[in-house]
Amino acid sequence: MTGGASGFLLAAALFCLAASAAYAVYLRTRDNDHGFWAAVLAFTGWVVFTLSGLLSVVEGHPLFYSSTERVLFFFWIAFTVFLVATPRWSLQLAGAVVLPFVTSGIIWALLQPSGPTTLEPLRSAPWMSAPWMALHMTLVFTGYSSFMMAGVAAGLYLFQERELKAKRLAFMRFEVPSLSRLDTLSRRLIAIGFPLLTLGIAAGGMVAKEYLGTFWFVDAKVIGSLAVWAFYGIYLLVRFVNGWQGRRLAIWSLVGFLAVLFNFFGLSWLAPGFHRFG
Amino acid sequence: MLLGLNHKTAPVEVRERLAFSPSEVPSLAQSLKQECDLAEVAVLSTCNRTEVVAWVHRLTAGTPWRVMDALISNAAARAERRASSIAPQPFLQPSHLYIHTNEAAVHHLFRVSAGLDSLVLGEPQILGQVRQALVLAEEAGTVGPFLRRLMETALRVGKRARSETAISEGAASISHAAVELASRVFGDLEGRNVLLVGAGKMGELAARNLAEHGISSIFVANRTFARAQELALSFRGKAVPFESLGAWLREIDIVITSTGAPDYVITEGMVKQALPARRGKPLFFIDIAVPRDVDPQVHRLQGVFLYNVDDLQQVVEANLGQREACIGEVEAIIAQERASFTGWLREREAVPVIAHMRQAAEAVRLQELERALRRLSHLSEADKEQVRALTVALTNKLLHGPTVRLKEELHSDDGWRVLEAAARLFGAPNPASAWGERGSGADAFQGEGSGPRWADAPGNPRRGDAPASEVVPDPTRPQGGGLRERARPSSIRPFRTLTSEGGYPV
Repeated sequence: MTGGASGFLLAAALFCLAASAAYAVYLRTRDNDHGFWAAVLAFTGWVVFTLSGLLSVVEGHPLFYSSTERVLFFFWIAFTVFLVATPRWSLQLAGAVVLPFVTSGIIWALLQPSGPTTLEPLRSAPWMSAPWMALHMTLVFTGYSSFMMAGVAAGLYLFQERELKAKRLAFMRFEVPSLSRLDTLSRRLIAIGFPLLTLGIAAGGMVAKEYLGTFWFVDAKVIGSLAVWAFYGIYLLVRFVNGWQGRRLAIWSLVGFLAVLFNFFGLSWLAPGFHRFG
Repeated sequence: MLLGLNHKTAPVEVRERLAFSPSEVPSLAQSLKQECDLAEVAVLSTCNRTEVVAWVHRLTAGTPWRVMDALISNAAARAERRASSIAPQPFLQPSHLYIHTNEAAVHHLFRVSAGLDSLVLGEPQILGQVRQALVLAEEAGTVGPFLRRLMETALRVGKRARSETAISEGAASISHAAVELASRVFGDLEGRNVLLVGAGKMGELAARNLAEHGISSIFVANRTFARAQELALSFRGKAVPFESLGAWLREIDIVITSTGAPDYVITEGMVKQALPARRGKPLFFIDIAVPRDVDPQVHRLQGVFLYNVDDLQQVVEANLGQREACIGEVEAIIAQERASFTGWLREREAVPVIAHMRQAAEAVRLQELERALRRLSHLSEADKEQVRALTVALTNKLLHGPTVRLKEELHSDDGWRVLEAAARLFGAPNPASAWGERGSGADAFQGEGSGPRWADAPGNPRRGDAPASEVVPDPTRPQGGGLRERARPSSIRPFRTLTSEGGYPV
């Protein structure tokens, strides 16, 4: 990443930080005006974030060159999925989780010892610039982001169900989608994410085929991804074939959310391999 | 002036005798207007209040009494017409009434329209009733520009209060709370189905409310199947046999119970059996019956929610608490609209004074012009025209300053003094009062311990803040104490004639 781009990145971090604070205020006051301003800040942050990426490409920096950038790309995708999903499904409240997550990601990238501006020639294998690679990352990251949004919706489901069970009345003023709606939402996001992940894994296989001569190789991340894939496959099976819904599947979705997080971040540190980034 | 009674001041026995149906209101308004010497009048009559809103040119101590008498005689005449068996008691007592004048009357009407004075804070019907009162008064031809403007402003207050604040938000009744909770679980209720168990009134009401919110199908179960069929017919629903309840629990989304059964009609076992077939689909119970119909253990089962009467009542109370928190905001809207209304009123009041100023000046101008032109007969036509233009410019310029300043002063608290001074300086008739009593009839009532409650607008600066000697003496209107002394013996009848010795049949 270049100097100008990292300047934009810093600005994006500040906007996201402000948006996180605004979402926290919104969570407390439940004033829809606050929710609106939080969304405006978040969107501005997203625009600046996007500009920083574009700027780095325009300035001649190869895309996804450093591992930090690849992680940043994941956060950008997660952010984008959130912004696309929110207005359609009135998931404003999810911003209170997603924005701090994205903010911490950007700040982490800025604090990297090498920094996002440094090139890392040693870690950049030739296949990183393969077109299949870009497709692989985009698809897998979008799939994961959908799963994570589904997890947030499931978390809201469990939160609201608990409040309804406890007959607590304070939540009545909250503009949370109804249980049924959150349930549907979680299902839809997973139904969207699953084929994306499937194709993304396939695209990864194409990269491996091109550079390693085999579709399949043993790597912690590969196994982790296949496990996540199977986990959500079972979810969809239970859901569409057996017609289950409600609390159990919400818990399933929430566990999936944690599995995705672990697969993406945890495995990178525990078992570095081809997929090591960050 | 506004005279009325509501659910806080009068018991239902009195209110029902003074409640007039929409068909009776126009003739009542006409008779009030004629008998009581009111310039404009409108009657707001609902089950919780009967109020007479009147515009009076000169309020005297007797006016409220005449209105009260007219109300009573109208009610009595109606009772006679119907030959109803309602006995001539209990009586309308002065303590049932409240009388507001001037700004206090405006304030009260705005509060009513905003729902602040309602039995259920912020309830929406009153707005329609105020609108109807205006329509009926228009029909009767008893409303003029002042009252029309007042009522329209009141309607605007009501609308603004409901759209800009949360005064009408949240369910304020048990059956609405049931709908609100159901929407928490199911979102919009379209496509959902309801099972009504038992034929209790409350259950029926809740089911009706759900039906209004888009529930697609209603099923009714009752111990007597015929009654279930009857109810189902009124909902356009379907009656189901009472014995098959357990089976229906597999299909239904919302169950409302209101039977008179002493034991649980729906047991934990029944629900447990139904659950596997539901595959995690939420099941929502609303138990309105006392004793309860649904085993409370059911609430602990996965995906099952059970709310009883007390829970719903709590929701209602929480919502009402929220509404109460908005009172301040609504009062702010009221104060704003009140200021705009009085501003309008004062400007209207100044119109005749300003017109008189101009007329007087114009008369002098014409007179002097004619005299001058007679003497200056040697002037050419063009020169005469010059002189004429000079007089016009002179009067306009001289009057411009005072007119503008008068209009400005009108909006200040003691603008009436300026207006009155202008009226006197230019020999205009004394303006009607849009400010306050200024020694009008209402003041004479003060100090009458047993009298009707004279409420005044909070912060109305007029009452008694200027000693009589400071007020410009007005020969056409006795000031302050003078009237008080004169009015008391003659125009106020002792209340005893109303409250004892037979009183007035209502």
